[in-house]
Amino acid sequence: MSRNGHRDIHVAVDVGGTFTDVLLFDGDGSIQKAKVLSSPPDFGRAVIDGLKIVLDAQGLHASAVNTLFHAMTVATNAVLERRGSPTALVTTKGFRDSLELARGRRPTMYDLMWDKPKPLVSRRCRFEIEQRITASGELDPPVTTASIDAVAEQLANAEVDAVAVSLINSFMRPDEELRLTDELRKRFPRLLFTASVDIAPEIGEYERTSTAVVNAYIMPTVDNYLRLLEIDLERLGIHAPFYVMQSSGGLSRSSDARRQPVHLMESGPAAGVIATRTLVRAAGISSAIAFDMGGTTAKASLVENGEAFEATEYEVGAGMNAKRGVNVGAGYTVLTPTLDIAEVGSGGGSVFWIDSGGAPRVGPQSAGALPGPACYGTGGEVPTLSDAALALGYLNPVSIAGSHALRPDLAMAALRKVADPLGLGVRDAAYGAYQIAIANMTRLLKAVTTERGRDPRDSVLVAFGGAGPAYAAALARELEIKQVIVPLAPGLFSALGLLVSDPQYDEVRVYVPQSIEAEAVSRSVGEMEDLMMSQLLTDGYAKGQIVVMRFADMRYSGQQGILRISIPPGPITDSVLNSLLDRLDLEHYRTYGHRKARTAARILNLRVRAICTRTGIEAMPALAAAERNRRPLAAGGKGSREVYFGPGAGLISTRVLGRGDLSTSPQEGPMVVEEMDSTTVIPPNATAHLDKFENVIIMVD
Amino acid sequence: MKGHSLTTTHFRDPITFEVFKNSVIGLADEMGLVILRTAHTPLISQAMDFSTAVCDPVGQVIAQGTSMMIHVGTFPDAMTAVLTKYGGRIEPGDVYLFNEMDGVAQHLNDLYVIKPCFLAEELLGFVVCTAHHADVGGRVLGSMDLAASEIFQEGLQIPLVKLYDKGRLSETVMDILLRNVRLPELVSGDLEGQVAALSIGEAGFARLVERYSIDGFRHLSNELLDYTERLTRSAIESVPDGTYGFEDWIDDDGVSVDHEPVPFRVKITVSGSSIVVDWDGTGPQVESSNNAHITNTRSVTYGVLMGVFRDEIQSNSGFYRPITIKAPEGSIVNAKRPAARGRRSRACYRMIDVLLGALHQAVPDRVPAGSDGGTGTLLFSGKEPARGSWMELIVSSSGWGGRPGLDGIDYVSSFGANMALRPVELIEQAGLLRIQQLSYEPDTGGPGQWRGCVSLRTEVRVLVDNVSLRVGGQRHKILAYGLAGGKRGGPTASMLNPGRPDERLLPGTTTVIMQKGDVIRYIHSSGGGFGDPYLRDPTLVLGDVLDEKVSVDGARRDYRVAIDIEHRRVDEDQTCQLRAPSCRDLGPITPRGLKTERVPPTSRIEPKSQGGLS
Repeated sequence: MSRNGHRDIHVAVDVGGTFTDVLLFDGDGSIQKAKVLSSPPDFGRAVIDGLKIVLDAQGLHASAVNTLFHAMTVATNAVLERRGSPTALVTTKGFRDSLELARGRRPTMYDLMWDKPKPLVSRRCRFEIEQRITASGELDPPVTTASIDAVAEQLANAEVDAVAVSLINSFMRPDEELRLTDELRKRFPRLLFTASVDIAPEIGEYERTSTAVVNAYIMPTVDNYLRLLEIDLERLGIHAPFYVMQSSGGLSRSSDARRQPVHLMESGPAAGVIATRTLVRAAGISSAIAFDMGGTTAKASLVENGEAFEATEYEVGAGMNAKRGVNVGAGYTVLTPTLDIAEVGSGGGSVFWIDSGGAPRVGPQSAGALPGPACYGTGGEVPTLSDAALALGYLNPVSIAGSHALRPDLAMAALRKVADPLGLGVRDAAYGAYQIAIANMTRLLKAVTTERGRDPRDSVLVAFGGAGPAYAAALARELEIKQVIVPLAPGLFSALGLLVSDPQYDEVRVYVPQSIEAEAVSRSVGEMEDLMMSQLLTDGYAKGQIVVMRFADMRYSGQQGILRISIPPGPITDSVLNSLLDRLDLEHYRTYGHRKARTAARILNLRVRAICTRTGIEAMPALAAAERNRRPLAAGGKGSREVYFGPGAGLISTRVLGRGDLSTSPQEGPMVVEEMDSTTVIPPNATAHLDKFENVIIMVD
Repeated sequence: MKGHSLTTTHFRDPITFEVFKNSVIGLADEMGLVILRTAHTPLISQAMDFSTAVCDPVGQVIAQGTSMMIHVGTFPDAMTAVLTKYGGRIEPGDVYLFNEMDGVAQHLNDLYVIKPCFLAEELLGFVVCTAHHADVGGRVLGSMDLAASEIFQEGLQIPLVKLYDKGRLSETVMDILLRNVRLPELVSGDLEGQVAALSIGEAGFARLVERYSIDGFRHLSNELLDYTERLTRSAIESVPDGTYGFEDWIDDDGVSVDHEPVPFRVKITVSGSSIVVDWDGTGPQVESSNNAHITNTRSVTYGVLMGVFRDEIQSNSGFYRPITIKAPEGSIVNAKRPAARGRRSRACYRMIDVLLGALHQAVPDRVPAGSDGGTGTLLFSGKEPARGSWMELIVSSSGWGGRPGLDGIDYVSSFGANMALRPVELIEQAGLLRIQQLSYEPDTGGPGQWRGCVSLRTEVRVLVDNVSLRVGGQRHKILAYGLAGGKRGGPTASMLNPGRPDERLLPGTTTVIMQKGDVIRYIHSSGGGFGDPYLRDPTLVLGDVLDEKVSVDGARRDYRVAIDIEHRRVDEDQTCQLRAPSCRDLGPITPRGLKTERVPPTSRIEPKSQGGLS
């Protein structure tokens, strides 16, 4: 969309642990890409460097940028590395230990030396205030000046930068907790406060308190990072609105993100899911698995009927595990809308090793960026998946478009350390590592499909990340998935997701009544809608661009799992509620495979989501058009090399192509498609062609 | 380390083996996740009180899913029961069900469901699961009546029967089952979930066999069992040969406080790559439901050994091979009919502590000191005009003992369980109880170089009249043992209306009637310490004092550390004086893997009461 005759310039910046990806999208249909090394701990430096590169390449001044989108790991790292700020907690008398007690579950069943994650606020900084909100919402007793005085005195001596306030039953009386927070804020204007009901007004004192504490703990860090970045951007000449990706897959204005950084935990991974959502919506695909494989992990997420799934429980810092629901207690619970993304320790750097029973294994430990895979020649000596991929001929040893040249000799030497004891040749061992990785990732994909009652065969696999396209076809074959899509710029696909996301606001309220009553549901939802709408209009959004969605978190009595059921637009009547029960019944059947008597259904929470749609960016076709202009770069016969596809197919002289060498008519594999940021492997008995968006479509036999 | 020569001899094809291993374990886990997701009972979903497995045609377990310790290794016996009764006439579409057999059983709440898997006419093996059901009848809701003296009082006993016969659901069995339980919807829902899990397991089983062929599958299964056996034997070899004995007690029979403590004695003999665990000398079965079936005893023994081996050893029949378990018939760890077993967990928790105490002597760097001794329960019930009969159960724990190089975890579910603490806000929603306090009790953790977990204090006010409260605690008299010079943990103590004129201490196991406004304070026993407390790093003691887990007086008394609380620091001069002459400086700051002295093969701890309610 053009404004005041100017071109529309949007820039997306995705900061990862290793690389910072920058994507500039020009309303005239051209794009610029940059991939620069991230610059921890001062992540902002690489952001500015990357921005300069794309702006120069496009011949633009920074002031031309209309909007800036950002995904980042600063919030997550602050928790993982425990580099947040000294934080205090104010809570109801008798409950200062709720945070540390947590739920008492542990993620491993037999580990006698397991240790509970240390609470982010130590006991000496957890202060109790004399007050109580009862289960029915009465104040018995209320917060008094005397009680505030007492807790303020403790806070004054605590030497903290941030404070979380979380009272027992505050979800019943948010006003009481907010009043206390305001009073404390007045007395300590230099401290950053978080009230639990501002972020997660849900039932469950540990979960709500933990969410508030995580928020408070990282707030100074994230606030500082975004504030400095805003200054740097100003200095560069960018005065555009600045949005940050949230775990929910929606954007938040950076000013909101600074206040509620707990929403940014899955910022980067969420962007990849949103990119997939955009792709499958444009292509009219009803069910797709987003498969994102990078250097250390692989992630998967399901997109169905154009919508991504949300997790009903989430822990930050829990490490990787595809087996969700079982391994509870490893991290810090966070109650924010979070896309459901499963993760395993399987990436290009994953180590290939032999266990004490003599069996070969891959991961979960990774050679990381340093020492890195052996073939990088940066000192790594243990074999990794990347070494195996190089030995199999999947990767090109010669530098492609500025990427690192790889060292087959070092890869072979490393692989031999595992191959010899197994009595295998190097190539067979390398192929073994590849197969084991495929087996590990099969479980990852099942975690988001079969474990939710979905058949992976009904889905399309959308593969991206640096390593994803090399494994996707083999993974699809394993799960009998017929079609793989490797999008344009697979290594920068997540950044594309940023360009096409919308600002999104979420509200939640506990639904207290035991029975489902139209009046009560309608009132609660209506209040949330009115509140959000007036806020958004104040913020400058136009009414016409705001799309409101409503959901009910439901379950059958006595059951534990929550199913999120969407409430149709319009007035909430008895017949609408009846339709919710039908939907619950259907979703329950799909997810769990059996039906329940509807009489016992309950609503736990009501949710309202406002999406502020932006017009103009048809990123998929635009990206395709832009790439088409660049065709000469991406095409050109690169000849062939020997590639190994397993004992059946053997070693095959395989064509090596650029994306531009493919066309809309399918070509028979085997083929290898090489690009600057990724390599796509098309095995024998599979075909590859381009769709209208220049995506590589692999059809697996 | 007696490392194995890593050669090809172990596997016909090591890569295929690894892929197969992942697939078959994945299949067992997948079944477990179906049960977890579809569960209607909180015990299944939150405590993961269920288990799944894939078995071969002769009943060997090929893979067991992630499960609760109390279920480890329970399936071979279940398969023996099925093969004994139905061998030769097992048909596609059959599903077997039981909860009580002489050779295999947990408590009646655990329903075993088993399905054979076929390819064409050929029996490939079985998929099997067990899950804890909300109610199976008997005297009390939930069917786990502590006071039951015979299994006949505990609910419906289901011998091995066909739930499905060639794909046809037996209405007879379902009718009898659902007529005998208080919560038929929950029971039928959870049973459906189990059957659904097995159907998914059956389909996955067939896919695996199609992929590897019947012979290939058999070969790989055997390789997997051999591989696991090899890992297990190698782990056992890392334990010094010898016989290691230990004993501990439960306070009473769980019903009468006058009942004498019941001894649990174990002798673990390690020789080469095998282990014999003998429970000889353990006390006789009791007239309450605190008895364990031999199945439980095996499971607990396997589970503790797994914890001590600390390797990624899979739970399958290969793991069980090097381990022999003996238990005298008619003892509390091998109870015979008609012993009640509803609350067998109390025996299980004590078995865990005894096994660990014995293993400490063999592998002192891998074992914690005595734990809180297992869960305690506050069972509130009453009758309200508006809602009829009601019941609220609050389960209490504290955590584990101090560990070599690590303190005990301050609040974690027992090693034998993995139960979630219920949210206070959820409990209060019913409007019957108000939780006034849920927090750590200072100076309770067993002193040690590595401190035992502190006690959890629960205070509950009842909001209605005529509430019956049944307190079911343990470790009132016999406290968690310390190891390597560590001291014992603190006792369980309960008090009615603390601070009021009518306050009174309650015995360990009791029932009281409470009126509106009455308060129960329940302090759960804590864990023992590990290592000499006078060797504890004073900065750790200071940390505990600042966190008010240890008082200034406690630091001086239990750790000989003087804290200058005003300046929030250790008073080094005073501390040196307190600790002299044994220390010239403030004592070592020791990370994991400290050396401990070897304790004589049998360390006897006299049952005696210690401490009291502060």
